[in-house]
Order: sequence, then C-alpha cells, then structure tokens
Amino acid sequence: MTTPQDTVVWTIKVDKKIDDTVQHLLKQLGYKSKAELTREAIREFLIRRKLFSLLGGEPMPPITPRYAATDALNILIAQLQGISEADLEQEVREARSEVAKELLDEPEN
Amino acid sequence: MSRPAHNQQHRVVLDCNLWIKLHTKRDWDLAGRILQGDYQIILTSYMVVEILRALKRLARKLSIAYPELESLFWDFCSHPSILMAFEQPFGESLIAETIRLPEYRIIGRLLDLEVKDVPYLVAAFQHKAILVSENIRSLVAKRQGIQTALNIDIKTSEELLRL
Repeated sequence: MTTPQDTVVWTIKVDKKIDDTVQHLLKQLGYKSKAELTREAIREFLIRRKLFSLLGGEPMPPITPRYAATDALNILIAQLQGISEADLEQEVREARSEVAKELLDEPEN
Repeated sequence: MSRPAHNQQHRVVLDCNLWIKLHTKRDWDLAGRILQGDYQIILTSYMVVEILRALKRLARKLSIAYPELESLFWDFCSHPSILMAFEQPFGESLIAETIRLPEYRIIGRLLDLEVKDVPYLVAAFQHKAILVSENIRSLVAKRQGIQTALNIDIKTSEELLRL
C-alpha cells in the first residue's frame, strides 16, 4: 500500500490538442482519470526501455528458422559445453536477478 | 518414435534454470521427451527475457557471439512441442505480462515467494500446465500451499519424467 510519503505530485502543462486526444482516449479505453492513463503509459515506456537495456534490443523470433529445432539444440549444447555447473548456476541466478530488478523492480538478493 | 495423442500430452512450464539446462546438457532424458512430443512447453515473453539474458551472460563468459546463441534459441523454439504464448511485437506481450506488478507482489507475498517466480506461476495457471522446477528451497518446498491455493501442480524434472 502506498503512503503519502511514497508519492509526489506532478503538474504537467500540455497543449490543447494532446489534452483533447487524452480526453477522447479516457472514454475509449475506460481509464478513470488522466493520471491513471499517464501512469500506465509511463510504465509501458519504462518496460520497453528496460527490455532494450537488458538485451540490447527487442527480441525478434525469425520468420524462417536457419536450423531444424533438434539441430539447433545440439549446436547450442556444443557451444555451451565449456561452462562449469557452478558458473552456469551463478550466471542464471544473476540473469534472473537482473531481469527481476529491471522489469519487476525487485531488489537483487 | 510415434507421438502421443494430444490428450496425453502434458502442458508444462519449465523454470529458467531448466531451460538453460536443456541448452547445456547432452543426452538429457527431458530433452528427448520434449523432442519426441511428450509435452507441450509453454513459453511466455517474460521467460524469454530471462532465458536470453542468461544466454547473453553465458556468451560473455565463454567469449562467444550472443546473436548466434539467440538465433539458435529461436530455432529450437520452432519445435512443434513449444508453444510461444505471445504475439509479435514481443514488447507488447511483455508489457501486458509485466504491467500487473502490484498483483504479482500480492501473489508473491501471499505464497511467500520471490516476485520473479510469480510470472511462472501465472503462466502455469493460465495454461493449466504443470510447473517444473528444481528450486527445492522455494517453489518445490512450497508446492503444497501453492497446489491448495491455486491448484497448480509443481514437479521436479525427475517427477515429470515418471508421469
């Protein structure tokens, strides 16, 4: 639950055209207030930015695979065979913490 | 080998560790069973981000090219046993999945889990899938409570293979 200490108040000046568009969208998309729409829009923007910082771009599944699935798995296994169990566990743990911190705002353990 | 009839195919959500294990362990029974179509593996956008981030870190550790690993991962995901539960563009799906953070926090707190495990639970719930994890200190240790609260079956990979 948020407390007054957790929040700050923004006052944003926008031109009339943006205000008209937002008013129209409120009705169309069912938002209760401009503040609610603004908060959600900012959160979406942040998720996109964080995705780019995590992976260096938006992942794009290829339309046509280069390899058959079984071959791709075998090549992946061959490429990654030099890694030790301990390093593997640590890298996965770190990766999950980074993603959680970026996308779920969860502090790292 | 013949593929089981659709109604015998278990829907499964693998945790991130198991996805990476799948990409690193030769001759693993679970990989063989997936490739022969015994399971339908659910893959959400949040899982993809975790898996690709892990592959990116491993690529750096082994001094190999990450784009090559990413490309191989997607090629593997073209297998008919893997159901990519998202639509392009990928970012839209990720936003839809992660924008519900307050709800994730509540679920995590109610079940005494880390928030990062909640997207896996939600995927298992939405797709009526078995959640497979080797995390014996968290998901596996708390599975009885999760089963009671959400009716999600949590198994280790060994237990899944025995089904």
